[in-house]
Amino acid sequence: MTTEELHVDPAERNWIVASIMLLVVFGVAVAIAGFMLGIQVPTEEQRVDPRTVAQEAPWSNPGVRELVPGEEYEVYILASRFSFVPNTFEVPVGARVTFYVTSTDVQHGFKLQDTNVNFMALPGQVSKLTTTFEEPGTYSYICTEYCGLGHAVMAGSVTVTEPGGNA
Amino acid sequence: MTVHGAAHHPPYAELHRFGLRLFIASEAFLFGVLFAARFYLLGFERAEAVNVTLGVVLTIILLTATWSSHRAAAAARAGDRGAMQGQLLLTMALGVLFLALVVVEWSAGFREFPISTPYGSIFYLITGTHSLHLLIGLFVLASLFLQARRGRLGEGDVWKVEGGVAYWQFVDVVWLFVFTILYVL
Amino acid sequence: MAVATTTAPTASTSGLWSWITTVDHKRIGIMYAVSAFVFFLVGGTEALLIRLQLATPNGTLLSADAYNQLFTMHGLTMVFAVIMPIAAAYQNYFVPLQIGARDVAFPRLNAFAFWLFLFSALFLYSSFVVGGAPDGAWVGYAPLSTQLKEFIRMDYYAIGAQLLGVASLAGSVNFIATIFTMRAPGMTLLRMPVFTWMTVVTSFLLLLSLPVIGVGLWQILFDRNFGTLFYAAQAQGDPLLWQHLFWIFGHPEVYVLILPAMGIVSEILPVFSRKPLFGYAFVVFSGIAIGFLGFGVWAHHMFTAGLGPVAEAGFGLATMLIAIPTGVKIFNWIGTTWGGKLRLTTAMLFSLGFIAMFVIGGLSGVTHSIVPADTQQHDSYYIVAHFHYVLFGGAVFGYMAGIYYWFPKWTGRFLDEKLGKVQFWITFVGFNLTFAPMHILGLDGMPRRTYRYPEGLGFEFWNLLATIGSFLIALGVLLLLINLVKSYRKGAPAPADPWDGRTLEWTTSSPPPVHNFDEIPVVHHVDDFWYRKYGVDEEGRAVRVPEVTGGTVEVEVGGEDHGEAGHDIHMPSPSYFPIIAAAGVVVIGAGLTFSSTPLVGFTLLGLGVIVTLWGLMGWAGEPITKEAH
Repeated sequence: MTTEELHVDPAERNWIVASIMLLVVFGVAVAIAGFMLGIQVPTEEQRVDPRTVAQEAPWSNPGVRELVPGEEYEVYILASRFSFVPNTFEVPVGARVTFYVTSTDVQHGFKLQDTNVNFMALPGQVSKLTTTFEEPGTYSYICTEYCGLGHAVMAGSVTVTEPGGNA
Repeated sequence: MTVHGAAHHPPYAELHRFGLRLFIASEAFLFGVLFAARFYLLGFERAEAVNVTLGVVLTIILLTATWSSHRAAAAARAGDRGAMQGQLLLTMALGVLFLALVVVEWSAGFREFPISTPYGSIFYLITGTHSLHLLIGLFVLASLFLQARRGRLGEGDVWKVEGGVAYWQFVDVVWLFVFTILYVL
Repeated sequence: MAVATTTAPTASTSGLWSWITTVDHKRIGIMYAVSAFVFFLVGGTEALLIRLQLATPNGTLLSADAYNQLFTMHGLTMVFAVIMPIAAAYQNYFVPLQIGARDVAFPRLNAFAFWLFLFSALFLYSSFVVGGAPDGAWVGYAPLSTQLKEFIRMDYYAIGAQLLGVASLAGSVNFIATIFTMRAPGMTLLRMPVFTWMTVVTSFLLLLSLPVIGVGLWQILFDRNFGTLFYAAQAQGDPLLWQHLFWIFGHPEVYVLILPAMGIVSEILPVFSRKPLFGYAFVVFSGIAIGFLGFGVWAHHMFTAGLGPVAEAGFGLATMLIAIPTGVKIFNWIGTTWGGKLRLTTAMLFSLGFIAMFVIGGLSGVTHSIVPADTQQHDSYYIVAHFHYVLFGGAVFGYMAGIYYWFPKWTGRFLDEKLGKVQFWITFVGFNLTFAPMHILGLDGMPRRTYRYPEGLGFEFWNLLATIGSFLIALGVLLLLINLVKSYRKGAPAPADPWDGRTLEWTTSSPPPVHNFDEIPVVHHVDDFWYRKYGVDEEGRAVRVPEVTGGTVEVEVGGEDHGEAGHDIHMPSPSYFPIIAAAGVVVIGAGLTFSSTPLVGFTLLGLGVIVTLWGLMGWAGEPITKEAH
């Protein structure tokens, strides 16, 4: 027998075409979601010097800033081996909360359990993410990037209060 | 047709040329990553104190060495053992001169842009890696030279000389990029 | 002409020295396999310790320090000292046989690569007695890896991984050169077995990705010991640079781990379905596509690092895209078995298990490609579940299938099939019991790389289940070990072609003579051996060609090397320079590892350079084949 020619089974060809079309659909969906609906992924906000960040505003005074009562809040959090500062704070339910998190030493993570908030806190860069808590209650946040001996116990908690100030 | 000898593979020359090309491709990626890191970390910044004149001298030395290595390979192909040895010796001497000047440059450099600076970090890593490859090249050429002196390089061994020279010339070409990226840009 | 023999000794091929100086690809393959299996037991023990610690909340079996070393070494061991060498074992042994060659292109380089691997892995393990093993996770993220300064653990990491990378690089140059230049007459690229194809693809992946991590690891060493600032965020350095460099290597690396196993499965399924591989060309092109695309998806490991929506969308899409060629392969494997006459040997069971488990792992992988979903999955046990499904349920199952399939060729004996099937089911159940719960744990929020978890979060039950499963896996591995030892000595004798195979390795004796083939075959088809054995009748069914008897085949001769076996065939001579050079390189590595203690470091460095030069100069000076007329 002689060399085989490339024989494309029709089932194979149809499958490949269908997959590529699916991908085009996904691509369009991603573009719409990202640029028209503004679906968030964590982004790098700015660069800082990890050796001095804790001595300079705003991280010299980490914690919650109330911009518009009940509606707009900012939370500045410092991660280091092996704690978050602050390791507990309060925000009201339904408000837009923007996190600014950075590290003073090595890579850390910041994950709010039972929410979709999870991003790295790297020295030298500020990670920024805006979210809204839909349900009141207490949520813990943990470090998700392995950072050494105390990684497993690095955690904090946020209390999300009812409107009117009750948890 | 019966064929004696090691069975069913192409002549060693082709085989080793192919293998060397693969290796050089891998090394090209290595230097490519180093160059990319330079731009990623520093953009187009450069330390003021970099001795561009010395860089030019180094470049001239290596361009000359490329030429002499080329002559060595040509001599090997022509079967002229004496000329080949001479050109290899010249190439090695130029290589040693290059490394000596690198040492001089580094001693000055450690004062002007120490290793614990952004530019210093990348400068010493890139030039160091290049110099290490050059040093290995010197060993390769020395090995060829010694083998030739002992009469162990025959007609069928020209590929060894060509391979060693090809590696040397690769290192020379890398220097051109190093010079451009660290001294010029 | 091929005659089945037991282990065939030729001149000076017995004894330790013959193994130390061997350049025979088959022996090197066996050494890789044995080493990989031993490290598999070690890495598995590390896993069992981890599972014991995590079986209960607030476990006290291991301190955080011990745990961190164990999980780091488990990852490094399984990737670099188990999966890569077992793939190398198969590639070494079978690629020359499958392409009708007598050895690889550079036999001494081959030996060098093996010894370098073995010495480097042993060197890495020596860290346990020199202040402790690396404890920065196998990914060694900076700046933790550059800042951890207790002892020299992370220096061991930087150099150990570097050395292992060099060993793999040497191997890949060899395989590419072999496959492109030493195929039998008539074997065009598109007639090569799929396993050989996957070998060439993985070799290119390694050739181009290892330099990237090489640079990254050098930078770690230099940041640690020489004051450079590559990953130092305070001075224009960037921790993210390490992540990029690591994953530009790391992602192609996972395809390096899986593609050879896919190649093995692509060989086994046709043999035990008595049907040719469905869509051979597409399986091959998909492998190539996965190789190319594999270089374009690395940042899907960094979706929470803040790369920005454009980059993340791009990488997310590319990751989805890579599921297409993978899916093509899966459908083609199913198409191969569909309507075939299945023989459910152990090799076939592992291959079918591979497909099923890899699909599960692949599906969870596709969920990672959705960037917002991944931000919830990243660094949770859901990821751990994913990669164990593709690496254990996928790669390990594929390599285990290879053991049962090719053991007769290596040894001339069958593995015990009954025991094998028991081993398969125990391993299959144990594997799923261990890793399926981890999907749930991850989605429930259990983070990875933590040495203990608190009570009351709902993690207890699934962790306990996983631990029980891991011990079932251990039982399965033990049964495999028993089967290997028992069958090596007393297994039923196997002929040259025990499975009615399709590819050229089955045309030689079991085990093959040192020169592989008495006469190099001429190849006319993919699955050429099958077509020598079988024609087709009027209804298109396979019919055994009459003049073939008892598993031996008249092989058309390639016009070279007539004559009695061995007489006119010059095989490359043994050499002790590769092992010397390999030892020298590792000593250089040791010197660099101790660079924070200059006296020790320089001494070792100097010693290593001398030994390496001795090895390399000797190697360059000796003839490839010592004439022995």
